[in-house]
Amino acid sequence: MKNWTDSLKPKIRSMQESFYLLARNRLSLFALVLLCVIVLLAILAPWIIPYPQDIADEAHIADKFLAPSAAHWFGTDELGRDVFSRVIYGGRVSLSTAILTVGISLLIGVPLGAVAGTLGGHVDNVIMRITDIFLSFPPLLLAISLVAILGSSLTNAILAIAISWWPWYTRLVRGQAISIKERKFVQAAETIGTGKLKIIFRHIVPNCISPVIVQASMDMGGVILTVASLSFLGLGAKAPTPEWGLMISTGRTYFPDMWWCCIFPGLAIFITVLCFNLLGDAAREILDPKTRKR
Amino acid sequence: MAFFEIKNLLVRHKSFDGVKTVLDIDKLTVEKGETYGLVGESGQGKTVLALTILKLLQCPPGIIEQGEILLEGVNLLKKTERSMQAEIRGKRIAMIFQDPMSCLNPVFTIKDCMVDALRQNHKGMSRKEAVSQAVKLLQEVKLADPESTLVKYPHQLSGGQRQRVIIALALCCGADFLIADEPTRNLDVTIQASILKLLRELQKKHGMTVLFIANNLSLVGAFCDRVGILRDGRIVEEGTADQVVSHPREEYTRLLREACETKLKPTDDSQEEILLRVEHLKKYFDINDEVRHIRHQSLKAVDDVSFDIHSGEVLGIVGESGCGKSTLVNTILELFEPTAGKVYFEGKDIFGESNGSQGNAFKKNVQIVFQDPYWSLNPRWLVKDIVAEPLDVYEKLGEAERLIRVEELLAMVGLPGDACYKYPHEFSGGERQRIAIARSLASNPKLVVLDEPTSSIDVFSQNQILDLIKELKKKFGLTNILISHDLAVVHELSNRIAVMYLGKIVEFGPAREIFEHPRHPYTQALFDAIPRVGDTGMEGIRTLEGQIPSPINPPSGCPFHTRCPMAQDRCKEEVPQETYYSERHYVRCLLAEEQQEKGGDVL
Repeated sequence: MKNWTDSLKPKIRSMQESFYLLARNRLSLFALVLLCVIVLLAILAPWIIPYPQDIADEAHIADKFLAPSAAHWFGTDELGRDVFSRVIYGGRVSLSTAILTVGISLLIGVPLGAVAGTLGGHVDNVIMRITDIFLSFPPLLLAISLVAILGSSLTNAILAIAISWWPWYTRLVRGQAISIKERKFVQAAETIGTGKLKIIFRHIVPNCISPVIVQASMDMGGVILTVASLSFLGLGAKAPTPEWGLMISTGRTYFPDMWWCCIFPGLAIFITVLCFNLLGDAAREILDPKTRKR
Repeated sequence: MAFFEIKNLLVRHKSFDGVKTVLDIDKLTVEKGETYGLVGESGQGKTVLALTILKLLQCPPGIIEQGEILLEGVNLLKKTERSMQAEIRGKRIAMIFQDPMSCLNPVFTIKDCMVDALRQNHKGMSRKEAVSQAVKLLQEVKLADPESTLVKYPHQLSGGQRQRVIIALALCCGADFLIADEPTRNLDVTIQASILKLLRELQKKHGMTVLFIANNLSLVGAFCDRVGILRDGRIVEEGTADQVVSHPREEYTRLLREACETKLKPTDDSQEEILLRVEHLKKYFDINDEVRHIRHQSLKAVDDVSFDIHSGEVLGIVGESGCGKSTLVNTILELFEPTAGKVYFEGKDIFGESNGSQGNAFKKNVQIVFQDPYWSLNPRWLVKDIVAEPLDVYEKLGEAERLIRVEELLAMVGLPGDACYKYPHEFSGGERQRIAIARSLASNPKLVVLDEPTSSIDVFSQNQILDLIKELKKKFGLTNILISHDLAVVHELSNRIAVMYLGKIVEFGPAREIFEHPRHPYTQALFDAIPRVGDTGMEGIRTLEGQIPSPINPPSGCPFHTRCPMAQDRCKEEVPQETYYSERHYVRCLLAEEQQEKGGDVL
C-alpha cells in the first residue's frame, strides 16, 4: 500500500498549491466558498428545507402569495408553496442538469477534438466538418428544435443542450492538440515507439485539459441559463418540478405585484452563474503554467 | 557620484513555499560609459534585478522591502509609475530582452513598431520623419537593406536580425543606460559574436553605459570592463573583468570559470563494425505557398548526406541553426519521411520494412535526448511514468518490478529514488535532462542521439551532464550522435565531426584533426567566433558577416560563397567535391581542391 500513498502525495501537494493560488484572489475565493454553499444546500435540500411537501404539486390556496416573512423567507407562490424551499431544491435540479450536460458534451467533444488534432489529414477533415455543421446552428435554436422533436422533458432538454454544446469542446481541444503534438515529449514518445492511442489519450489529452476545465466551468453557468430558458419556454422541466426557469416563467404573470415569485429564482440563477464564471477565471489563473511556476 | 548605483536593495518573493529572498545587494555601482557584466546561473536573480531597476517587477508576488536604485542620484524606486513611463523607461534606461523570438509583437511590422516607439518619445514628430529615422536606426544596427526590413513582420526575420531590430528599438529613444539581459542566448556563435561587436560599437558611439547580464563567464570576460558574480541574489565577487576571470577569489567563481573551459579529450572506443550507415540521404520539404507565389519548390533541409558511424564512437554534427542538423537526425529516427536515400542500421535497411517487428527493433535500439528538457518531458506525468515509458512499450512488467527498474535508472543518472513521485516542474533544468537521459536508456538502446543536450541548461549542470554522458557511454558501450552548435561541447565528447552548412556536410573528419587544423573556411569561422576564457576585449573574436541563405534557393556553386571570406569567382559556379586530407578527413571546398592539385598539404 506504500506505493499507493506515495503516488497520492504529489497530487495532494499540487492541490494545496492550487488552493494557495486561488486564495490569493479574494474574489475567486469568495466565489468558491459561495459555490460550495450552493452545492451543499443542493445536496442536503430534501432534509433542510422548511416545507419539503411544497416541492410537489401540493396546494395551500389559503396561503397563496404571502409576502416574504419569518415563516416564508421568500414568500409563497400562486399555490401557496414556500418559494424559499423551492429555490433551494431548484439548485439540485439546475446543478445536476448542468453537470450532466457539460459531462456528456465533454465525453463527446474532447476525444473527437484530440483525435482530429493529433491525426490531422482526412480524419481531421471529416470530424471538423461534422462539427462545423453543428456549429452553424444557433445553439439555443438547435436545442429548441431537438426538444420539439424528442418531446419536452428535462432529460430531453439535457440531451438537446449537450448535442448543441459538444462542438465547442471539439474545436477547443483540436486547437490545443495541434500545438501540443509539436512538443518534444510527443516526439520522444514516437521515437520510443509508444502507440498512437496512448499518445493521444495519455500525452495529448492531459495537456489540453486546462483550457477545457476553464471553458467547462464557465459553461456550467451557460448551461444553467439555457436549461432555465428552455424551461421558461415550456420545453424543459415540467410543472411541479421546482426548476428556476420554470418558476420565473410561472411567476412572471404576477410580476411586479408578487415580485418575490420571480426575483428569488432569478437571483439564484444570477448568483450561481456568476460564481461559475468567477471560478472559471480563477481556474484559468491556476492552470496557467506561468502563474504555477511563481 | 556614480552614474548608476544600487544600495541595500532587498527584494523578496512570496509563493506557496513561503517568502524567499531573491535579491540582497549591498552595493553595486556602474560608472558612466562602463560595461558592467553580471554573471550567474539562472535562478540567481539576474532577471529580477533588471526588472526591479525598470520597476517592471510584478508585485505581488514580488516585494521590494528596502533599498535605493539611483540613476545619477535620483532614486528610481521612489518614482511614480507615470513618471517612470514618461521619463525613465526608454528615455534613460532601455532594455534588450533575452528572447528575440517573443519580444516583438507578431502582428506589427517592424515599421509599425519603430514608428510607434519613435513618435511616442519624440512629441510632434511626423510619420514621415519617424520612418526616415527608423531607416537610419536600422542602418546603424547594420541590417542590410533597411527599407525592405521595415515592411516585414517579425516572423520573417532570423533570430539575429530580430535582435538587431530590438537593439534599434532600444536606441530610438536615446537612452544612455542599456540593460542587456542575455542578449545572445539561443543565438548561434557566429551571430553572437556579431551582435556583441555591434553593441560595443554603438556603446562607444553613443557613450552608453551597459549592464550586461549573462551566464557565461568567458563571454563577459571578453565584453565587459567590470564583472560582478551573482549568487542567491548576492554579489559574491566583483572586480575588473581580467581580475575576476583570471584570478577569481571565490570558489563559486572558480567553478563558473572551470565550467567554461574544456577539459578532457574524448576516449576513442570506436570499433571497426559499422552500426549506422547513411547513404545519399535527402529530405526536401515541399513549399506550396500561394500567398507568396512560391509554387512547387522545395526546401532542401538535408541534401545528399552520406556517412558511417562505427560502434562505440561519438559523431558530432556542428552547424548554425537552420543548417539541417536536426532534420537529418529526425529523418534517421523516422520522425520524417525521407525524400531519397537509404539508412542501414546493423546492415538492415530501416526504411525498407517500415512496419512489423523490425521497425520496432530499430526504435528500441535508437533513442534521442532532446535539447529542451522543459518540453521533452510530459508535465502532467510523474517521473516514474516518464522514465518507464519505453519499458511499458517493450517489456510488460508488474508495478513493483517496474518501480525497481525506474529506481535503478534514476540512480544511474544520479537522481534519488524519491524523484519517482514528483512532477518534472519540481526539478531544475539539469535534473530534468538527467530524467530524459534515464528515459532514453530504459530500452537498452545501442545508439543514442543527443540533440543539443546542454544548450538550454546552466553552465554548471552542463559539465555534469557531459560527464554523465561520458560515463554512461563507457558503461553501456553506447554509440552517440551529438548535435550541437557549441564547439566546446562537441570537442569534449566527439571522436569525429561533421560540419554542416545548408543541408550539406562541408567538412568531415576526426575531431582532433579538425580542432587542430580546421580546413574549411566555414569551420574556421565557427572556431573564431567563440570567446575563450581569458580573452579580454573583443579583438580576438572574428565574425562571419551576412545571413545564412535560404535553403529554398541555395546559392549556386559552393553554397558558402556568399559569406566566405576567401570566395573567388569560380566558387559561384563550380560545385566543390570531396577533397581528402587523410583517409577519413575530407572537405568540400574549391580552394582545397586547388591546393591539392598543386600538391600542397594533402594526402
